Amino acid sequence: MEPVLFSIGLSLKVALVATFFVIIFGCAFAYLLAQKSFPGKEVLDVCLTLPLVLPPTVTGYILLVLLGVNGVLGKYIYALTGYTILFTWQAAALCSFIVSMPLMVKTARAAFESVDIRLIQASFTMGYSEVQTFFRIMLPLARRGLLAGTILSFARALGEFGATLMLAGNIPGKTDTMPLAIYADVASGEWSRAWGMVLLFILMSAAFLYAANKLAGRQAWA
Amino acid sequence: MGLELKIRADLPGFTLDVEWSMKNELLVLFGYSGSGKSMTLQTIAGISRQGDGYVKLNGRMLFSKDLAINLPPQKRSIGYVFQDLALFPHMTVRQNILYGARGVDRKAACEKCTELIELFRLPGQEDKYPHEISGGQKQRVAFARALIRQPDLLLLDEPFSSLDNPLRLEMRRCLISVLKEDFRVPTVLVTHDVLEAYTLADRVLIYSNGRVIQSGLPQEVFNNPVNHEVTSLVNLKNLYPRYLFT
Repeated sequence: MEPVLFSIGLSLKVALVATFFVIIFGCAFAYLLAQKSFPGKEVLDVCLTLPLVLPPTVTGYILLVLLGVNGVLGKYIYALTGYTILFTWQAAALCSFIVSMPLMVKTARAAFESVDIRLIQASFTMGYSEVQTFFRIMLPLARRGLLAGTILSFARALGEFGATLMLAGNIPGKTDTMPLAIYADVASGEWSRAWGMVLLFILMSAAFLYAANKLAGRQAWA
Repeated sequence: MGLELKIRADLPGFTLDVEWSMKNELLVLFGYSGSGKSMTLQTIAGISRQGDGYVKLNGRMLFSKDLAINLPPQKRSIGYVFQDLALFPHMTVRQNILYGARGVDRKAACEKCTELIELFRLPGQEDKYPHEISGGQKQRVAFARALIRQPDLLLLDEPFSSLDNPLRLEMRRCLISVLKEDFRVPTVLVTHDVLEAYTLADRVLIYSNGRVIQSGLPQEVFNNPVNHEVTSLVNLKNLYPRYLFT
């Protein structure tokens, strides 16, 4: 397959898988942070937000120490199953997941917190459990914020570079997502091929940001 | 039958300490804002779950510190109309009312809903969203939603406070007729509007600083205030000269 097309396809696959998990875990953590009080809440918030501000290489380094063949967890996984996530597309997806989740958590937490507590309490007095109230009241009312968070996370996941390079490497035809392919193209002087992907990236990211702004600005039920 | 309670809750700068009971009647909790009226309702409904004491409804213990019982709001079968009404903005009038009918068979709920829409004069508004209807209509939707499940107790937290005066009078009449003729559910209404207390109540409890300082029939309480504080609270002439005395 044409290397450029492969990179585009791989990037989409990695970002979609990462975003899928970001939606699930991001919403769950955001709900916890927005609705519950428990010891260590602020610590959890900091841990979840950290990848947003850390250099991606630091995030990648931590993941490598955890999941490498000799890593804290990785050695057991390797000993038990013979599998290592290193230098696979799954590693790229994991990095994208970790790095883009803060965007979801932040946006979703704000969206959940903006739902009037009275509405939740009203639902409780009518006999609805917390889970039922979540799906029938919280989710519909927070949905634009959640959608905006999803789009931002997807855009971030698509652009993930540093941590991916550390954990997944840059293996042509295997783990070279678009950002990595652009880097490799520039390094080897293939400017014209890089240009195409650069333009594509700028256009896509601009469109995502525009959509996210549009969504976040409107009321949930309008 | 009826409601019995004793609540003591220490909050920063405020202590709620009340003990009272009611039968199948319309009881008004009357007092200034911040005297503990809403807090009492929240404790009855299980939304606020702090403090000591007990809440017993129709012989069933909803909350008892001593017996370590504290039913969640879901299990109390209490209709609650909030001050800001808390209509679900993403649901139509009909959906809002039907949402209140949890555990009711779907067909029966739909019939009941249609009945309530008639009763509360909402025909034609069924498919509108809360932001598309008037304040009085929102109010009636909130009542219908709280009543559709035939709760054992109805709690109204200053439900008319957001309405202007002519509408308020109309809504009071509407509420009285529905409660006396159609539902007959014991009702606790919180207000700091003296006229509302006087005209709606079967019985009044005067709240002040987290305590009940006087109780009785409205005429008794309003004509024979036990102390200076109640006198100033219930002085109709001072508060409403325009409506009553001109």
